[in-house]
Amino acid sequence: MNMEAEEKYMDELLRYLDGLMTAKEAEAFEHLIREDNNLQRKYNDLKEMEMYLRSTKLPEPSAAFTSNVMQKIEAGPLLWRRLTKGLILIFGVTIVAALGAYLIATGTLDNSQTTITIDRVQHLEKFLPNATPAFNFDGKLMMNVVIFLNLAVALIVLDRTVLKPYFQSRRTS
Amino acid sequence: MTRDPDYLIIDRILGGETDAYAILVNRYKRYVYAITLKIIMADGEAEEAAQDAFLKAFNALKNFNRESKFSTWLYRIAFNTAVSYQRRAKRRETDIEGLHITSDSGESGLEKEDKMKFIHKAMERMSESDRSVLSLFYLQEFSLDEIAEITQTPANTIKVRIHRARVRLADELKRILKTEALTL
Repeated sequence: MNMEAEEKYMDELLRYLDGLMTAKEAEAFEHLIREDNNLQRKYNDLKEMEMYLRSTKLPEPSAAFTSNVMQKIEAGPLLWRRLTKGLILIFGVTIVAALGAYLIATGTLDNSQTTITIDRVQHLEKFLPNATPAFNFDGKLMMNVVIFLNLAVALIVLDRTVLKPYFQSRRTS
Repeated sequence: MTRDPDYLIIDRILGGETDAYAILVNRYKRYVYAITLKIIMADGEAEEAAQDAFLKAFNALKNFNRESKFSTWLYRIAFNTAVSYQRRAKRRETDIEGLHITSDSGESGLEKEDKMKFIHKAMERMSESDRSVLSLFYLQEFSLDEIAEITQTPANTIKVRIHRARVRLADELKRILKTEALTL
């Protein structure tokens, strides 16, 4: 069989295998295959190759594929967004704490002590028969509590939005 | 505009529900991995490229114009990612052991494995572009038009390329089998 004829047969074989021939064409070609041993061998080889290639199953990626992708997404632009938000929050609470510390340092709150007496509220005796105690309000102490809470919030935010993601991304990379 | 069920999920993701992307990853990971594996032909790198393709698609989701199906768009990203990985690595030698030689034909054992090995060997000898289109064609998941869209090649060119590649693959396989027969 010369090259040209071989090419033609190859084209015809592929058309036949792809089901692109009309019924009449297919019948004539099947007859040709039965008659020609060389063509029959070619047909069998090609059919087998096609069968193997078409039966190839989809490969399975690793079990952690989806979680790895999601982790990479988290570590990408989303991380930056969270980081920016966290840093803004840390900046805010630090400013409040610094302001409080400044007020204490300058002595602005030194004279802000007073006593809150609930007894002065009119008609309260109707609801509370016994005399209510008086409370001491210390502005300096209050500011210390505010500073402490702000610093605690700042540390938590720093840990969750900056340190934890940073060490996690270092570990995954 | 094409109606695609994935658009609802994309809307959720763009609305801030980032975790919903995991649904799309789970839905298409096998196909994306199949594309990258067929082109790169090495497990580890193919998985890395597939993950990279999903990451690129996520970052470009805002720019996805919805003129085609999400899957086709994603496969195109996977295809381009795999091709650029392959070019970067300039891989010429491939590890036969690393390939997924799985088939659901009736045969079993050494004969089947040998045949698949020879077919893969023949595939490796094909040019990168021939191998890519043949792999997509034999995955049977994609129509010729989709393959054309994924590879950004005109449909008629793809048809001719696939036809010629199949003929070349058969020739290559014949040569390999002849050589193998001589060494026995």
